[in-house]
Amino acid sequence: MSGPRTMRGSAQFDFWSLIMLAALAIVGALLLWPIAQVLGLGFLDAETHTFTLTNYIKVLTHPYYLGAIWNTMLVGVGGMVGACLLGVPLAYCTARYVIKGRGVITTLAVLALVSPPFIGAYSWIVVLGSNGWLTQQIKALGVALPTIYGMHGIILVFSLKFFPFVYLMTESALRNINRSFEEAAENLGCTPLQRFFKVTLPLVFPATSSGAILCFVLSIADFGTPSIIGRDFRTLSTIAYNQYTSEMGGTPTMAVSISMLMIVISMLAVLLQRHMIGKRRYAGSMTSLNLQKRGTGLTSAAIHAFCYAVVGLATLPIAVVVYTSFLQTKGPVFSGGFGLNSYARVIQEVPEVIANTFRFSLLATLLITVAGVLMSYIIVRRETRLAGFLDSILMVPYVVPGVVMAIGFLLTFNSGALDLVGTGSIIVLILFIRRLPYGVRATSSVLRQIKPSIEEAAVSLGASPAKAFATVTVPLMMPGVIAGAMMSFITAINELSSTLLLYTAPTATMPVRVYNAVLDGEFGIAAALSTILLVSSGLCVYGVMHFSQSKENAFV
Amino acid sequence: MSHVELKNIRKAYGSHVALKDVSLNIDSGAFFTLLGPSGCGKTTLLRAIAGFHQQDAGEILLAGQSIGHLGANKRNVGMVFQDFAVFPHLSVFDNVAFGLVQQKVPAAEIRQRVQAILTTVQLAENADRMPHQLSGGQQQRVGLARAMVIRPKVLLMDEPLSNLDAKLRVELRRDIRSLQQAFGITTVYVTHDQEEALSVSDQVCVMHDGIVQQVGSPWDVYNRPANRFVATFVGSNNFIPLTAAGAGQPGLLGQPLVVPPAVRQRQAGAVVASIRPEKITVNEPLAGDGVRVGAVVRQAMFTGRELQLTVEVTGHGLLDVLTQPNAAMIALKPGDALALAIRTEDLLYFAPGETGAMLQ
Repeated sequence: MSGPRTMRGSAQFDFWSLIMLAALAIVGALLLWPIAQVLGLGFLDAETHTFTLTNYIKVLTHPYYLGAIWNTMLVGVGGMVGACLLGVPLAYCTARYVIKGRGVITTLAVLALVSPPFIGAYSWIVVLGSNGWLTQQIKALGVALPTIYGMHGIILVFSLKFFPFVYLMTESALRNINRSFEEAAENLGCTPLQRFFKVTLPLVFPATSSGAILCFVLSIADFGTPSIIGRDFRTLSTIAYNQYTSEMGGTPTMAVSISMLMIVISMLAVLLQRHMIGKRRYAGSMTSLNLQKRGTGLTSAAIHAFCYAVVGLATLPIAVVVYTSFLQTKGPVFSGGFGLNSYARVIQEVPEVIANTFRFSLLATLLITVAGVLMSYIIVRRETRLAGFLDSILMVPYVVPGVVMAIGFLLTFNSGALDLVGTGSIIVLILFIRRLPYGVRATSSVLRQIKPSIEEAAVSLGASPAKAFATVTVPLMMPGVIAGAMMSFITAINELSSTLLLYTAPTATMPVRVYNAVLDGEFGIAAALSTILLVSSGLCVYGVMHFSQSKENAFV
Repeated sequence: MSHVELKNIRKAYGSHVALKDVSLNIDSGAFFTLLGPSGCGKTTLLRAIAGFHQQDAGEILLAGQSIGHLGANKRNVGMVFQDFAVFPHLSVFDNVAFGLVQQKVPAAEIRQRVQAILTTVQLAENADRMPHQLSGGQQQRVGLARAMVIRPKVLLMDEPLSNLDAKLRVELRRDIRSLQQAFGITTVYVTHDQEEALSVSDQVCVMHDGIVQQVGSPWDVYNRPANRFVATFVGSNNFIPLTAAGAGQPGLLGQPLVVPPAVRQRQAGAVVASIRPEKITVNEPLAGDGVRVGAVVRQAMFTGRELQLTVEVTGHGLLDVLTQPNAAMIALKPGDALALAIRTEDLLYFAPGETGAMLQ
């Protein structure tokens, strides 16, 4: 009854032990070793190559770096708070009120989430930049609008980009609260507002704070947005990139010290959130779920207006990009009217970039899927210490920014038999290790829903453990695995922050090319490539929704 | 002849010892039930027989052959699970056929055997359905058919009825018992429900703290409990400490009592007497030896078939009493006085402690 339910109690050496060894080798070589390199190099003196603390001291005392730390915290906290201010009210509205077109709202939120991370920045330039469309309109009225450049622009873009995490997590938590809790609060004399702050909010806090912390970590790790619209506003991720590229050829000690600092900040944020949640895990009992109220007249109109405004703003960049991609161009400039010139140029000039993106991403997705299924099996079904260790180690990529991971890879795979610099393999491998935890998480959540007794039944009927896994467990996991693979694919094709340091001309990918095109002012090409990425992501979103039982929750 | 033999089985999870040296012999064709509260080790023992747990020490013999070294897939034991464990991606037919396919039985024979067992469990019309189209009771019938169709050497059932509602539980337990008797299959059944255990079993094994407390027929376990734990767990019971009622004469509820020699030898305070609630009579003269004592009603609950009274004997605490719900009894209200009669022959005596032995 009370004993742990392991398939075979004694830890004898078998197929799964072999998988465990392989898993440890993979995370050791692709995750721990590169990060150790980054950590170690921070303690080296760039000139004398001896042990020193100067790099770290400099990062923590020099005004240039202190300013960047301060800026990073500002955009991190700003993005997180902004995401909560948009996400929590939106979640409350869609979870508790009848909203016409609720499906449209969640779909738009998901689309905003999976769109390439940098198109937000660049679209907002098109709208609110110094030459932006809205800037011009307002200027015509004689009012000078503040431009998008700088901290407030970055925070705006992050809030609109990352709020779906808070929204989707909070909404699902709100839906799973047992209605009796709120009824009990009301019965004991709470007004609706008291009830929300005393009962509802505390109950969804674990979910909301997980979403919020994700926004914080992604905000401080983001490279594309601050580098496109930050101008003089530097964050740790932009200076890490710039330091690395300027230290190229020398020893990149400052870049790695900054990198370590970013990892530490992310980790502290995650630990803080875990500490705050503590043991507050409320198992959702599905007994009496909340019903959606029908808002009356003005209330209903206000709620609808709010919901559509939020997702409308969040998906505005997508509309801008698609619209721009169909504008007629002549060379790099828009020549008025519509046309397919941008697409023609993309296909003529950079077909290999498109091919690269799909080739690398498909390969990485395949690796993630196979490794994800096997690793999640070890983690969920084998409750050994090593499995627990593997589970915790897989948390690491969540807090390691892409730029940092890329620097680690460049330090590790640069010589001898392991010289992968400039190859497609290094890009596939970094996509693999950065997204592996998401793949493992997607498959483990499916696996957890499959009762161990199902496999035991197969074994007691004569199937070997491996055969029970293949004929019973895998087919049951399949929908979740496919949904997870599509999610991995979406994130892989849109990856920028790590590939930007790793690519060489023959291995450039679409996001890299878009980034460079934006910097060169080639907006037509940027828009056409982004649209291709958007359509691919959108198709996968459709697939995920189709294959996943939890629908939009598969995306967080 | 013993069909299943367990010899000195030990199993520990870290510092928690789940099974302490358990030895059992289960007769061929018997319906053998492991009964006990959660955490008593009954499921651990069942899963050791199935091969899902490797015991730390001890031996398991099936028809005289040691099976301890065999994997769970090589033991040819049928298992019925608490949560049904019906494969959700396979039809009813394919679920039941699963084990036969593993045994490489020819397709025609599979078809015939599956049809036959589905008819037996009244699911012949549902062969092509998917599990989610079935009710809980039907799913467990699939689980039962799937385990029996492979003609296992022993059928193991892990609380198969605990996820079903009360009416269905009684219905299905009848079916399980008649199927088991019709096939003559040795069955080891785990439950924490003492009524279920008594009603279906040939032999009941009461477990507590990883130790076998008693193995016996349902009648013996109920009427001749080996120790106080069994007397507490199986059915309901009143425990009354014996007192010295002057001049070394033992007393019950303040009345003098004639006790067997084994009890008389012990100090009065070191013996606890037990009386089943249904053995206490209310407002009737005492038939034979025993005690008659006044009491006050504290609570009366009518359950349809009977009337459950909680009464207080002043200075001696509360007693549970079960009576027929006749007009006089139904009229009883809290505070009413009544007379209780307890016959000496209905009393059992136990040494003190949770598992104090019965004194003959």
